[in-house]
Amino acid sequence: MNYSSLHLDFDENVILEVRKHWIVFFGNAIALLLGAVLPFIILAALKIFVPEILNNFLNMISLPGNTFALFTFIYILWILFLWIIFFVEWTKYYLDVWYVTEKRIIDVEQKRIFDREITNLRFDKIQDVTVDVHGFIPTMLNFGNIKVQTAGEDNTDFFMTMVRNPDEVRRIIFSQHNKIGDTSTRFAEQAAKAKAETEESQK
Amino acid sequence: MEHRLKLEKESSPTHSGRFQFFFKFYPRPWPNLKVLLVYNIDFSYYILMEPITIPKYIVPDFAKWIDFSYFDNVPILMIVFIVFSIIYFIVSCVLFYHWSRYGMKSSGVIIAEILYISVSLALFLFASLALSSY
Repeated sequence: MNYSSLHLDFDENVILEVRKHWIVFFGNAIALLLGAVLPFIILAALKIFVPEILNNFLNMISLPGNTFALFTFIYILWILFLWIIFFVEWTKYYLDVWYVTEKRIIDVEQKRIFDREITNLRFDKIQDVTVDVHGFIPTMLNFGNIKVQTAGEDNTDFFMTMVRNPDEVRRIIFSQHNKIGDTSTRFAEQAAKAKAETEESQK
Repeated sequence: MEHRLKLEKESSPTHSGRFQFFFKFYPRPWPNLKVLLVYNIDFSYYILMEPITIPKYIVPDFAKWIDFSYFDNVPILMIVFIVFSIIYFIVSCVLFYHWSRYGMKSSGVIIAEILYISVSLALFLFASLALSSY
């Protein structure tokens, strides 16, 4: 993995990548699969329910040459179209991600193929992390919504729907948040101690 | 009783050499029945009753919708194939740009690249073969 495009600090590493559950993409994949077999479904439906239309159509297109090859060609173009749509959808799914590092959360939001937004949130700004797992299927498949609330009114909250394993994500964010908090407290204590020593020595 | 009356355009000679005129009635209460009044030349007539099948739908005339002669034209199919390939190539470039720029060289992206290229090449090969054998 190469995270150079995230412009991380030299001492910063990605701890966790948070993506939506595969069920989000699964719906699109099933729809595209249905699209792939749609010509056969239409053909079967015509043959069963309205054979006159099909016969009329087949009589009409008594084309010279290899008709099977022609229909194969058209069908392959249709499959290629669906194939590229599949990968456009997958790209939108896969590149919509949260990177949790030791210092911050980087929210990369891939709304559309040419619509991308990157937002940073440092752990010291985090106020609360809320997880919402609602319903039978989300509980069984372990996915839910997660919301990271930030301090201050002007800061926008981070929100991602249908995140896989949301409790684990919440736990890691909180543990990093606590580490940052402990470090800040320790630095503050050390700074106060150093200041007191300086003042004493000056006296 | 309301009737729809239709006079057949053609009169047909009988075996005895006399002409017959056909009048068809479609009685509304029995829509599946055709009543045929057959008039002879001397105005004597007899009745024929025949069951008819009324189609549930009108079979469309596909020939008026699409001119299938275009499909007989291999150069036009070639142009369609080339235009499709160009559009496919442009969208593929966009996808590869996103994968290389933002995919962080992850295993998922590498697998997707391999799968995408191999299946696309195979499908284009099959499409070319199908077009060449048409």
